[in-house]
Amino acid sequence: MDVVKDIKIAFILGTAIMLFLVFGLLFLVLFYQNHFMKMKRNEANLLLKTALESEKNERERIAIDLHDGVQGDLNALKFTLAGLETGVLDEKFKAHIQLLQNTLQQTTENVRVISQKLMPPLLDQKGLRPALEVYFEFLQTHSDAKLDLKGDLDDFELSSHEKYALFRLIQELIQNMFKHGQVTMVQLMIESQTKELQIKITDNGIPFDFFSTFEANHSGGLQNIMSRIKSIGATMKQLSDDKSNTYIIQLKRK
Amino acid sequence: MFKIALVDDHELFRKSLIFVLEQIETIEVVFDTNDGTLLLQYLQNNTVDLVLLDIQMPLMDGFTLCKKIKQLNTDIKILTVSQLTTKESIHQIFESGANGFFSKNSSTDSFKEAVLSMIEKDYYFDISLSDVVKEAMLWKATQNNDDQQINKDLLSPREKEIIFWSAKGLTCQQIADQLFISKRTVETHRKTIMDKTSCLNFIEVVVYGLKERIITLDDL
Repeated sequence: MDVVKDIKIAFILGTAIMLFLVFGLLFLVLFYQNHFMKMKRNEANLLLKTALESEKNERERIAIDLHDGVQGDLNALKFTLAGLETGVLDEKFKAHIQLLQNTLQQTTENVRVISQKLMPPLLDQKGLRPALEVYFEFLQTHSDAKLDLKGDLDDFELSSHEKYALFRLIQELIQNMFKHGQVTMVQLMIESQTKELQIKITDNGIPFDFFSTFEANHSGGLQNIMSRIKSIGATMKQLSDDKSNTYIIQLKRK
Repeated sequence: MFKIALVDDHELFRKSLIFVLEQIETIEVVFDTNDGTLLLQYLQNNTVDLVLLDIQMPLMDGFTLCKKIKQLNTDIKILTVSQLTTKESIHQIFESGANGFFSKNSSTDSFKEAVLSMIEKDYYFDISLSDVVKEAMLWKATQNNDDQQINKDLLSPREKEIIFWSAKGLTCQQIADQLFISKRTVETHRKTIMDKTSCLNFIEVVVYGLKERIITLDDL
């Protein structure tokens, strides 16, 4: 009898140990997988941040090169031509110089616009709202649409990275509205509380489902917007009806 | 002849400014260089009425150079000519004691106007005088207010009048006509005002005038 009992105990004990080992192994695998996923996610986030950061730095560098180098040269040419123009008496030559001056002025203006698009100079100096004001003014003079900017950041402080990301993604959203939505009206509203910032952009364009389009094809522009939102830990949702599109971007502080 | 010196590291820019300046009859460009230290050497034995100064330069930047020139001789007027945006530069001008600011992005016509304004009014800014002064007041407010004892009778009534009309944007000649005195006298008065109030440039005088209630912002 004792032998049977011993075997029984050994059997139960053996099964228990086996089960313990199996579950332990299972747990380890799951734990490791989870850890691995987390690491991968962190790595992806870091990669995204680095990519966006280096893009920003590169843009900044090109903008500065344009401003200090090319614009300086163009300004020097402008003054040279002005000097030449007063010295030349022949009408034919004078007309040519004036033609040159006009072209030069156009080029200077183009370079200025490019450099400003690359890196809005006000963003770092004055902040998001003034930079958006200038951007809206620019759009106003270059289109027939009516643009409206309301609200302010008040005490909500943004890091340089956040400012830049928000500015770029707003720019990208509005560019899309103009390109595909045939908009004639864009309204941007900034609402801020101590721990929460909300930016609401509304247009009157063709209805556009941002997220299903994004799911269907990760096109450059939309991908850009989503990456920037992700990189600053913000969220975006869309409310639309058949006459307009509304995007709400939210940034919360802990 | 009004003597001008130029410092700018952009060769073509410097040469073309000289080209434009030489077409003004009353002006003579006596010295130009890309290196501020060379100008300081030149000023040891010579003098000029006006220096046009670039700000961003590799050898010695414009604001440092400006301070050094003013230490050497406060009578030399300095017009900074730069690509920087104007409002920032106003603050820096306050730190360095320059008399005016001209943006390289401005039109060539306004360049002549800038130089003539420096000759006749002692100052030039790309934006309106009241905007400059508002910026200057803001700047002064951010600085630790120097505990300068304000002396009510520091300036004579005549000198206060000069401040008033200068703030209105009148040239020395116009003020002279207004007050029935000679242009020379007006210039002497201006110099005395700057000495008495220890101001390095005209904008400081206007800010002083506002603080002292010799003038109000509406007078500008």
